Order: sequence, then C-alpha cells, then structure tokens
Amino acid sequence: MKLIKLVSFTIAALFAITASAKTHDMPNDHPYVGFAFTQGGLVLPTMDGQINIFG
Amino acid sequence: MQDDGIHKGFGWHIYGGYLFDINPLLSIGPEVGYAQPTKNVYKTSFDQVTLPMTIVYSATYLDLLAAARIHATSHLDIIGKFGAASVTQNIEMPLLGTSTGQQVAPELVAGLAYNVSQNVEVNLTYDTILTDGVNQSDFGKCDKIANINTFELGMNYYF
Repeated sequence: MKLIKLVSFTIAALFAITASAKTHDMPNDHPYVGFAFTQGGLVLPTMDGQINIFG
Repeated sequence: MQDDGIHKGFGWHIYGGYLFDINPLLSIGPEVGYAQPTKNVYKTSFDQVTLPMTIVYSATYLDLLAAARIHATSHLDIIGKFGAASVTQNIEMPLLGTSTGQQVAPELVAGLAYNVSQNVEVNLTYDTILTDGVNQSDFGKCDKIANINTFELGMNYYF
C-alpha cells in the first residue's frame, strides 16, 4: 500500500513539475529498443559454515 | 560451504517500449523486457567427501513496466520505472540436479540517460526486484526467490 501511494505521489509530482516546461529536442511519441549489460544480480546470503543441502 | 556466492561475469537485459510526450519535459509509456542477471556460484565441499562441488543460483525475468522520463536538458533524461517482473530462479545442486521456482514481484528502476543523437542514447540505471528474499535458512529451497539488484549500462535506439 505504501508503495502504491509513493508511486502515485511521484507521478502526480512529475505532472505538476513538468506542466510548464521548455521544449526538448527528442522526437515526439517514439518507439524504442534497448540492450544493457548488467552487474549484480540475485541477493543471496554469505554461507560461511556447513549447510545441509539434502534437508 | 567455503564461498559466498560470487557474481560471475556480466548479465544482460533486452527491452523495448513506446514513449508518449505528455508535455515538453515529461514522457511516459510502457516497456517490456527480458533479462538474465549474473549467476551466483558457491564452491562447496563436504567433510565426508573431499571432492569440491558447486551450487549455482541463476535467474531470468520477464518484466512489464510503466516508464517515465524527465527531459532535464536537451541531452539528459532522468528515468523512473515501476511495474512487475516474473522471476524464474534455478538452483543447480551437486547430486540433486536443478530445481526451479517462480514469483511475480514488484520492480523499481531509477537512472539517467544521455542522448548521444536524435536516435541513440546511453543510460545507466539501478534496477531492483522485490521478491520474498532468501536468508541463510532458506538457502537451497527452490520456492524461496531471491531479490534481484542490478546496475545496468545500456543503449537505446529510438525509431
């Protein structure tokens, strides 16, 4: 619920802040594709001791 | 267990979307993507068996996001995205084979983009997927899906 409120507030703020803005030179209404290299990944615990993977 | 699940190499993310200019400073639109983050490799050995083995965590996810961009300058955009990701996680265990789990979870993205030309931009984003998470007692259980946090260095082409 907090996340939904935060996102809603952020969107409302974006509309308000940008309502009277200067022009930019990007094309209007544009499709796009992209590719990215990523670093990081799954957040997993450090395992220092023995664990029973069969349990 | 002797190692701490080091991330191996680079992962990748492909995506596509459509942006609508709401006003001169703000564009929003949908984006869909598919990604494979880096694997986490644990090296292990058992007291009874001296043969070293590995446990490998890997994942892929399909995401659907609402993307917003603030055109801060003529070349610089501030990026924010939110939506959902369907995460499929695989655990490769010695002797036990591979087990798979899946979860749909919220995803948040924030970053910056630099417009190199009218059609090409480079961007740097931080992407987090908020699954239930994995702690030490969950280790090796396929129904426990780990959070995914990635930095992404990408390039977009605008048609």
